[in-house]
Amino acid sequence: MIYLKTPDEVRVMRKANLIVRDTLLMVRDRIKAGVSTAEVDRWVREYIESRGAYPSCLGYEGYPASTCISIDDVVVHGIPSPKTYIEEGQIVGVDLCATIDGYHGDSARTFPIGKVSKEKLDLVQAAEDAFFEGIKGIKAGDRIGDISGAIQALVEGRGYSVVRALTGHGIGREMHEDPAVPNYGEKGRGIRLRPGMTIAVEPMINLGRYDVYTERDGWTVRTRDHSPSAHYENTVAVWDDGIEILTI
Amino acid sequence: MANGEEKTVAAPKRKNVKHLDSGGDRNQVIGDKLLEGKQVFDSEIKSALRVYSGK
Repeated sequence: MIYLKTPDEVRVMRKANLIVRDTLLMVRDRIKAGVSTAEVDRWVREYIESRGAYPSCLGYEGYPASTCISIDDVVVHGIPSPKTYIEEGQIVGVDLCATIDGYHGDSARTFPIGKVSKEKLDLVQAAEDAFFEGIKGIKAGDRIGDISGAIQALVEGRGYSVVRALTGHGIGREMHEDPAVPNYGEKGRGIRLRPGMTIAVEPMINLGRYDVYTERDGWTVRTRDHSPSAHYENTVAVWDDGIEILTI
Repeated sequence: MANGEEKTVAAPKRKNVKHLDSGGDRNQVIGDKLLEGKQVFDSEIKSALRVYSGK
């Protein structure tokens, strides 16, 4: 079921999404080598709660933390741990959600730690570029495949691969709503975008092949060839005059 | 100056800074990207401006 939001509902959603935005800015300014992923998770929970919101990843389908922190070849859903320390040269994906006034926000960034190889930096930049290429010119009446195809074209054009096993998603009163928003597809295909649709567009891209697997913890998704992966995500609203990024 | 639509990042309107008043507000995401020399996208500017226009 796809729920279309009114402009007033999107204004409320923006509140959750600006909290998510500010949380990621806070993480960006503090994350560094030597910090454990559990500590980053604690910062996130404390910050989101200080803003009167709740970290909606926590407890979602049994997920044990407020953030997903995914290092190098971990694509998404890396579980924070006091035994996992961030190291110089890594790229660290931080994906977090917040809910306030009944609506969710969702965003992710991949942070380079210290001196990082050009190979990894280019991958991180490509994930961001893919997001913006995906939403470029998109408005109500276009199709999901217009977003998906644009993301895939940019990513593969740069020699990377798009993760196919995981997708973006609708979001609003639930963290995951319909529709799915794949990062691969064909322009002109898929469901039609309508005014008031709110979706999380989230390119997940790998330096190597697109195959991934889930570890025995049931959450951590890793590239099968252990090549690095980068993730970039924003929640957006679709309108007749274009896309509104709610996490900016 | 750019609004992400009529005036894009690639082709902004040129203004003398002494004729501008920031109003005290700053979008940190966009501001930080500009300071770091990173690419700012038209959709970011357009979306950020919606907050101020009350849409």
